[in-house]
Amino acid sequence: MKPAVFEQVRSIAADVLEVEGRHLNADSSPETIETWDSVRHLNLVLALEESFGFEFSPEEMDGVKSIGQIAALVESKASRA
Amino acid sequence: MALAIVPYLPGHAGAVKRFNQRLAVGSKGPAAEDWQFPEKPDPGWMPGMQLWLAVEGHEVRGGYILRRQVFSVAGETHTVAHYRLPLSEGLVNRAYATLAIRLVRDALEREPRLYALGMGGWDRPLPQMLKRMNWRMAAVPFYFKVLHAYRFLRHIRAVRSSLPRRVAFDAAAFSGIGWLAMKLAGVTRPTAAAGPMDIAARFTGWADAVWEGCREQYGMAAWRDATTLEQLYPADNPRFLRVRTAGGWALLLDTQMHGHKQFGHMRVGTIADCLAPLGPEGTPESGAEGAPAAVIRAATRTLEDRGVDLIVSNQLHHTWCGALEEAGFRQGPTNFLIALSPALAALVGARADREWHINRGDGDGPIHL
Repeated sequence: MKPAVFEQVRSIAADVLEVEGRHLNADSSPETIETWDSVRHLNLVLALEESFGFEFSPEEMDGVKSIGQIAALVESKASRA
Repeated sequence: MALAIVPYLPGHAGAVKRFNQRLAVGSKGPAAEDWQFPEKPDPGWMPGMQLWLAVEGHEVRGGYILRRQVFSVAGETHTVAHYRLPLSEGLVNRAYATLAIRLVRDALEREPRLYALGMGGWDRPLPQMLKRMNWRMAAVPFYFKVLHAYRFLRHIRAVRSSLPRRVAFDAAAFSGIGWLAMKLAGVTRPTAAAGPMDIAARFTGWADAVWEGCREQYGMAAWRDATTLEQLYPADNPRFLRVRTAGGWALLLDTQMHGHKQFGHMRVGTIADCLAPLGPEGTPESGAEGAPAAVIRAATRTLEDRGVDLIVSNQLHHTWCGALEEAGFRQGPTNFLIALSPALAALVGARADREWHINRGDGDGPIHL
């Protein structure tokens, strides 16, 4: 995973989830971040789409469960674009 | 399991009931009671409704209603749809968190020109999501006029939210201090005399003439000809009062509330809908001498004479807001929002929000009032 993509995802997630970026790592997930509820997850998906300029499919939206998985998905979609 | 969005058929009713039960059990907060999808495919609420369900196997995980309508945008006719009552299991189960996005995208594929109305306030999930999806958002101002200060202070649940506040409001009500304070603040100011007016039995050709005479003056308005108005406000429903004056009209409700979450046991008058020609900007006809001001005066007088405790109205167009202020209404906090999808916003273009004619007659109509 490219560090730049991970950092960008982490920054967006920190903003949407209202946590400090240093508290987020690749394993951070709804189970470990208290503020990561349904509404924030939805806002996170929309914020990522807006920042990276593509839409996630329903399967992709539901399949990502952690910051690391999100960064990997973003990287994979960006390379296909 | 794959999830599909399909038309609501009679065979889905049992799964919708189970979906509603899961929402009722899992939800909390003030909006929870509104989170119930119709338990039959044709609830008969409004004409032009299409109901869609997100189905996973034998279970329903969400749904929404599209209500097809005709809008006038600066005099041009366009079809749009109201995106109504979107509900997702994501409200109570994180596994379905992103279903809300799928629902709105599905609706946009069926009708790109969508609008959502009401939504309960900026902090709710739906307006937050729509804002992120670049929908154009505006708040529809709320106006009120207190006629009976004692009953208002005793029953206004929206602000009697804590024991100290209830004690203070009761003291103000029983001592008369509240009445005096409201009078000094102009909250209970009497309405100026209304001109000639009458109560119409139904919307007929005269309403068509009003609509055709003024629809080009509004930046955006839902179709309000006689046929549409008769569907929204049927003549056989005695709740609807149609006041006619000055080449315009207002649709009023006079409702005795019983334990209402905001109005307690008050008798509440509502100016739910209205229409009249707008005078040219900056002329007397655009202000206190204009038709909207005359319609609001007549509507207010009618409700005063019927003995209501409080009159309320939501209006977005600046001329109607000015007419309410002219008649002694005060503006209060609003949770009534409008959101336009990017395609509908593009159609409206640079026209200011305050030129759109939006009120409680739009969207779900005057429910809860």
